[in-house]
Amino acid sequence: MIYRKLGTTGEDVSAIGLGGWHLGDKDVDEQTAIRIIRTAIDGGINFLDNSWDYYDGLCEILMGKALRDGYRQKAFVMTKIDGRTKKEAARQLDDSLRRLHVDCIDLVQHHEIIRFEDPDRVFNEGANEALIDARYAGKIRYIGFTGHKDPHIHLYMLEMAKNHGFKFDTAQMPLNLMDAHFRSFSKIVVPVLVNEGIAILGMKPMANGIILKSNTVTPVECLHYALNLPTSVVITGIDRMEFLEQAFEAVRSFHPLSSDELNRLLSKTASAAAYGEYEPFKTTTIFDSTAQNIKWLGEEPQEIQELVQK
Amino acid sequence: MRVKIKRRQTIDRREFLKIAATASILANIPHNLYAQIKKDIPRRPLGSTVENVSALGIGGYHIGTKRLDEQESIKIIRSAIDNGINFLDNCWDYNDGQSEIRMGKALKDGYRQRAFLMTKIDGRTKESAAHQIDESLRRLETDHVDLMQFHEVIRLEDPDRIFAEKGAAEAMLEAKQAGKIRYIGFTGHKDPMVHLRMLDIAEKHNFKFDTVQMPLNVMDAHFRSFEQEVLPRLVKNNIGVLGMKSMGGGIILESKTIRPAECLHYAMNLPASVVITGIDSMKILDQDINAGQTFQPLNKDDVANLLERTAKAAANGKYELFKTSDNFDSTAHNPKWLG
Repeated sequence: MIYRKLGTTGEDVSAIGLGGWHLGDKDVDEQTAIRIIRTAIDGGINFLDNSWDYYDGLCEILMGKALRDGYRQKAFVMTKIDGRTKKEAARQLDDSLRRLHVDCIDLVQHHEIIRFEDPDRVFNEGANEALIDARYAGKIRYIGFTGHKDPHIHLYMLEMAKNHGFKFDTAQMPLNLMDAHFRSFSKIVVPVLVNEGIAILGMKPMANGIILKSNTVTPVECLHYALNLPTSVVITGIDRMEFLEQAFEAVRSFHPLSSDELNRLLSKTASAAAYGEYEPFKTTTIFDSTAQNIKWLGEEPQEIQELVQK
Repeated sequence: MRVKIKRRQTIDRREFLKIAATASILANIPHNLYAQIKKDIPRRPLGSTVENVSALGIGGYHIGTKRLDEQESIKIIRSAIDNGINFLDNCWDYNDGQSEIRMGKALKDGYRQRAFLMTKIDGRTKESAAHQIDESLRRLETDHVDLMQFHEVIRLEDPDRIFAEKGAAEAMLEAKQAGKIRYIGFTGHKDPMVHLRMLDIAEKHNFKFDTVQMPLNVMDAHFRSFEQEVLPRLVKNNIGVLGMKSMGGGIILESKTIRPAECLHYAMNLPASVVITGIDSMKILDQDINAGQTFQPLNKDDVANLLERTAKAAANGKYELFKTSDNFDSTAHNPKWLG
């Protein structure tokens, strides 16, 4: 396994991370989910991804079970919360701690920063304050954010943090062979993060398999491309043991790409990527779970509601 | 700056000609009559269309709230038209259709012919958009609206969805072909970047909007500014500019830095064809008509003074909650309206 620095935190994390969402799929029974998680950890994957809103909490519960018997100590556990208000964020964080069966989560991220008002809400309505309080209380160690919609929204979030004198430890985003060509996180956000020493968590290396449907690149090529960026970890969904083996194989065969190799990969996807057809999380609402469940974001605080009703 | 001046001259000439024709005065109009003309609410050209619209328009949302009874709503709309406001705003999703139903009633007895009627739809798919267009026409009791706009273009995927295959744009174009709508525009209140994205995607599809609606107010000038980032492009491309939220839904007044008439005058001073404003009583209507009739182009110092007074309050968007919260995002609270 390749291990990389997590930004300026001093942590070392595996270059491949296990995505939490797929563990809740109905085709994955509890035993299989636990086996995937433990086998991943045994094979050197220490970065585990999850979210408060995945499958009504099932993914966190499954991960909590897998982390017993000494596995917790071997893992760097990340989860995410949707709440934008202080109250809702704190409530969700406590749910997550309970379901994961841990006293402390290594990294908690603001989930689905996909709307232009999300950065305002996180900083004006108290969600970030809730995470800072939780860090002070020892419930979490690091704070980050994630989103999949548009690079400019990530830039807003970074700017808003800066205006509040806050520095995120991590930022998560889609990094894949299509993204390189269309509304590109790798071109617009990655350089800023590198410059500021914020750890880069890549996700959607194959966009939930959708990129493979373009018949332009292989799974291992997708993973190599994401590993070749200045990512601390590339999070990938694994719902079968064979996909876990594929991820290990991608790490074993990875070497930094020469510019020729990189250009060859990019030229394969250029025309398929041009309109975002294989990155529907940018161009549709299908991946926006908080758009379909707006109550997960929490009610706007009273002082804002009053201002509106006056 | 030059564009603005040129435009104002055009407006004055058009007003002048229109009144001249009405009064059957064909030549030698005395100067004092010209001065009097200025007291009407100005009419302005609507982008590159052949239409002239009043520089103030009635917002449709307030017309349909429960706070007003139907008779009052109808009275407000008709009085506005009688006093020279011909631009009417509405939306398929306002007050469960009440806003459109009441406006439809007000537009009977010959008022429809005197009004430039706009409404909006939320649907992003062809099917939902077509359904909403027909429903709006039915409620407004008219066979066509003058302008139909895509409502709440506030998310970066909205332009993609609207212009996708089987997207809402196809329904709009078919409705235009069928004579149900005359012009097409869009509106949003979230961020200038979303408007620019919408214009970019439209261009890629070889489509030119007739109008674009957005918040234009003294706070906007300081924060994520539609005025600075979107307005110049619209002026350059001669797309009709519809200003809204000149008082931020009343919230800007809570800052205690500016008065209602100043808010309206600031917005009217921009190169907007019309400034749409919510009117929920005859008293407010009178105030707004007065603001419209007393409007004089602001000089540089007036503008600088208004901007200076509001700069601090505007800095983090606290009084423009439509940008920084989801309170104004009706389609976020009702995603099914998007189809």
